[in-house]
Amino acid sequence: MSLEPNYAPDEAGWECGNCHRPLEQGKVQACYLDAAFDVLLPRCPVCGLTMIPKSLAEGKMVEVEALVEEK
Amino acid sequence: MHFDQQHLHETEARCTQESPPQCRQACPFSLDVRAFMQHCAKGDFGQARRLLERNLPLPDVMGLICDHPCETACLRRDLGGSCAIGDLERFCLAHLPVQSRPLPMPPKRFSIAVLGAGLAGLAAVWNLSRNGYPVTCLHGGERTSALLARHPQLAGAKAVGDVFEALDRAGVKFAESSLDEASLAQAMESFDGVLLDADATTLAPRFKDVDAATLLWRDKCCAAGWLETTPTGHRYASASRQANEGRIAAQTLERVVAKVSLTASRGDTFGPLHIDISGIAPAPRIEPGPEGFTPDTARKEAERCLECQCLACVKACAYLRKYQGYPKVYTRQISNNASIVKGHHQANPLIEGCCLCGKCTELCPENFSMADLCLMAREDMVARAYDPPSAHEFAIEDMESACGPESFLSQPDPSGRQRWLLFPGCQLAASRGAQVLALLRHLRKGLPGDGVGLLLSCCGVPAKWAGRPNLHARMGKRLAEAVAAQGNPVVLAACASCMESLRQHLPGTEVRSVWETIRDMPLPEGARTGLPKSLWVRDPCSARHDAAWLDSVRTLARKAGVDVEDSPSAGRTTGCCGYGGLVWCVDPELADSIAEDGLPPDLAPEKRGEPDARPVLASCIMCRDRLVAEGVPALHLLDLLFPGTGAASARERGPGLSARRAGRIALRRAALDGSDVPAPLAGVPGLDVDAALLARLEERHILLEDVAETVQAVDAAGRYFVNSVTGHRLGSSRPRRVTFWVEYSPKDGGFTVHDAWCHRMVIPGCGSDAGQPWNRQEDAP
Amino acid sequence: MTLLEGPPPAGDALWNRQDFRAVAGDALRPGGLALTAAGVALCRESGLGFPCRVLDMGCGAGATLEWFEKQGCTAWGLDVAPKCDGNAHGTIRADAAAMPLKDALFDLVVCECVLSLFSDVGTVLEGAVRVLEAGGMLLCSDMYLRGPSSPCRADGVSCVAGARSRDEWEALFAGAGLRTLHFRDHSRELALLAARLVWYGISPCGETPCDASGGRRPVGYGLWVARRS
Repeated sequence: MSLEPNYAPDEAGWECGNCHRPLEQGKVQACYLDAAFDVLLPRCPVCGLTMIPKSLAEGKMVEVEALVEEK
Repeated sequence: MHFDQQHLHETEARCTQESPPQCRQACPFSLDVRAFMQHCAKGDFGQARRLLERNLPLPDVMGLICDHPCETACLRRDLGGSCAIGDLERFCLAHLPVQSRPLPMPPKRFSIAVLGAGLAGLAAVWNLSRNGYPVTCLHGGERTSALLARHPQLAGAKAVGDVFEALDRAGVKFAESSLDEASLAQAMESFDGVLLDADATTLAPRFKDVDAATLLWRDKCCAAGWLETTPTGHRYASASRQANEGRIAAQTLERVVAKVSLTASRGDTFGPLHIDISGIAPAPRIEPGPEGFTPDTARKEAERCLECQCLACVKACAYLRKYQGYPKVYTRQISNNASIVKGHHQANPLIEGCCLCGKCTELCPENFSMADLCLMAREDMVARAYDPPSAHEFAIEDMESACGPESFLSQPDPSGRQRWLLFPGCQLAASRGAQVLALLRHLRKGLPGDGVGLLLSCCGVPAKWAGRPNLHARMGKRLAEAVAAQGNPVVLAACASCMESLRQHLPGTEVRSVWETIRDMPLPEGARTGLPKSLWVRDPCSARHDAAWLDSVRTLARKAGVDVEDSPSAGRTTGCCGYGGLVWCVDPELADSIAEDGLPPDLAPEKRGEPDARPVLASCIMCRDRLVAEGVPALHLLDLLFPGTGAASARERGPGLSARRAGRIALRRAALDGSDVPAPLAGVPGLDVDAALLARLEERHILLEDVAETVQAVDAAGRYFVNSVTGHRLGSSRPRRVTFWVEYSPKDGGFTVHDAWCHRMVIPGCGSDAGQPWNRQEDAP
Repeated sequence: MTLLEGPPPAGDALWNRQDFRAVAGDALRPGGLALTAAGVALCRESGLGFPCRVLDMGCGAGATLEWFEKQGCTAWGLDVAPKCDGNAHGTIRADAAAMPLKDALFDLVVCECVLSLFSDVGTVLEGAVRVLEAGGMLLCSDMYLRGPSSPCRADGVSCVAGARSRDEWEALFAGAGLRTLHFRDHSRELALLAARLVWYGISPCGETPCDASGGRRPVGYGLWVARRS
């Protein structure tokens, strides 16, 4: 059973500008300081270009970064 | 280790908030009178009575005869009359039944004899029997006689009978005795401890023959309950003192029989509690009627209690209020935080939230300094690498940019003479480039033949505020070199925070405010018709002790034809606008509420928008710009001196973060070109960003130059996503410690920016690390 | 005295919630397996023979049991609602306060963030001691209250309701006949745990232990090694 959050792009229609392939959700590890977190993000299946949607960056990421920093 | 325990204890001790107020200090039993009054004011008379039962021996009798030294000490005495504490106690004792049951204690095996049933002796008997000691009380004549002889007002009082009944029920033995040497000798033989009541038997020694702290006379014998003597020789009994002595002597005997230290941990001594009573209106004391108080009048009288607290600093500072404590508590929390090596640091927001402005130090009667404490904590955090990286990063990068090749300039006077050097500071340079040049021209005109150079740089104070003294020193070194290369002139600073920093960097150089230098010069030419008639003066926090600065600002304002009045944030007790200590960077909301402290009532949030609201005059550009951002009309002193070169009105907002960077660059260029007015670029050429988006970016500390760099890098490398519906492109780059994302479209040889965001986490496949082949098998969930 | 059974009442403490414990397993326990490993290393320094017979009290999903098994230990787990699918040596559904186990069965008993769920820790510890061989060890990691600031105990329900001071914990160990050999502070793990809880979307009711501002709720996370005397 997987726990990691799954973030699709905020809007439809994105594809890789280089490879012109539709994106697939892939599991990557996001790191900050001494902590690592699993997450599923949109990625180009060919070149691995990975997207961080705005909703993730300005939502969970900023909150978790502050917790890891003990800010 | 920056934190020295001894130093921390001393620091903590300066805050007197936990010292008992005057009433409690005066009470021999150290009754928490303030709490008693708070209960009565709320009508919780049961709680109030419980407090008395816990702290006073024979409370029902004490209430009737106590000489209440608390009332003598009460600060209400000059504000309508001391609180009627004694009458309130009598009310609680008379009108409510006993509230607490004494806990049945396991009987102790040490027995005590009390010789003499005066107030002191009976207080000792009361406490000892409640603590489980078998007590025998030897008395002369009737057992009530000594008490009633000394306190005749007790004759017929039910409380007396009740007390003795309670003692009988507790198993105290009473025995009539001749109270002579033989009975003393007997007692010393048969009991483990002996107490002599000095007011009820001649066997007791004089007070000067016993140990003052423990009341021990010799061996296992204590004495208590002497009379007082006035300077004219009159002898009288202080009921509170006598009963308390009985209590102390009983405690001593408990330690004697248990063979433990007689003196260890026996009550703390406290410094005085400072209370500011200015501004408290007198209110007349409410006297009880002939029958005493009623619940209603009791409450009203109890409400007169000032509930003495210090909190002088807390009342004046939004930051101190935010964490709902006071400096003594904060010291402990911060020192606790520092003692954590690899643990969880919960006091970081507290440490980062202080503006380091020094207002609390001015208001505190003991000069407690949150600034010293927090700065020390920040330096410790940095030295041991547990400071949150994102807290000050933007401010430090901004500082470094202000000293970078595009913004730094050390330019001597063209004449070659080098008597003075203008140091406008990085914020004035960013926000008011034209005024900096106008000021420079004005100085050269007013000091002909002397030579006035220009030095554009940050002074490094952000590094100091961030707890990075080494970085601060490195910047100082560079400044010292530049100043030396210009012939060690007198440095004229336009920013009070710069002055502090420059003096530290340049010990051999004179640093003074530019205002005092131009104060006596003729004003620069120019019509001043559009200026407001009168202004509120708000002084910068770093200038609070600089008399020359404070005076020059007011003199110059008046010369410019403006009437000035001190706002509540002026002079020695002025507050910060939120810029100090980098709080604007770490906790913008807190920084805004700090700025609100010290605004005059007619600039309250609901009033400041009015067209005839009196604006504020600031001599620090950050004070000015930050107040305007909150809707408060404000001008900088340079707006009075050089009208038309700075803000067009008291409500015109200062430039945002990106525009400030551009402003410094433009100023440097203008100074090099010799032009009068810098022309900062409104944006980045070729980059189209609408105003609403720009405002959002500024909130997140995303600069246009970072957006531009990302777009250029991403587009050139083709490392972007494309949206088949909108045609937008989306890519990221990570120049330093933050990844920037930009959604854009190419347009007319440039780019339109639709949106941008950022994060600090590192993820493979974005930022600079993009385009790695991806093995699907490995990553399958 | 017992771990809660059945659906938790509304507003129940995070650590009590069975959905949390079932889902959390290793990934979300403060410190994770790295902390278990550090604790075992300390035990071995103090003379624990290894591999050994170990009991994990509150074994949950069994990640700790698996770890021990991989190192060659004989690992048993006990939980009121175990969720292991046959990987560990044996898991027992039972109440930690009344373990259906014989005396002196184990060299090591592990209690990772489980004792704070109990109000009567003494009984649980006595049970642990009973099933330990003489000289056996207890490895305990749990939340603890630290610092002189006012211990702001929430009104019974929050995550930190079971957190005691370090002195209180060690007194409880002593009361059950366990001598504390080592203590290590791992409070950073709480900050990281709070971060992980937010990331993975498990929302605690009320404040997380790390939610303090200004140090009002000084909760830390500690690791103890104690020996049955």
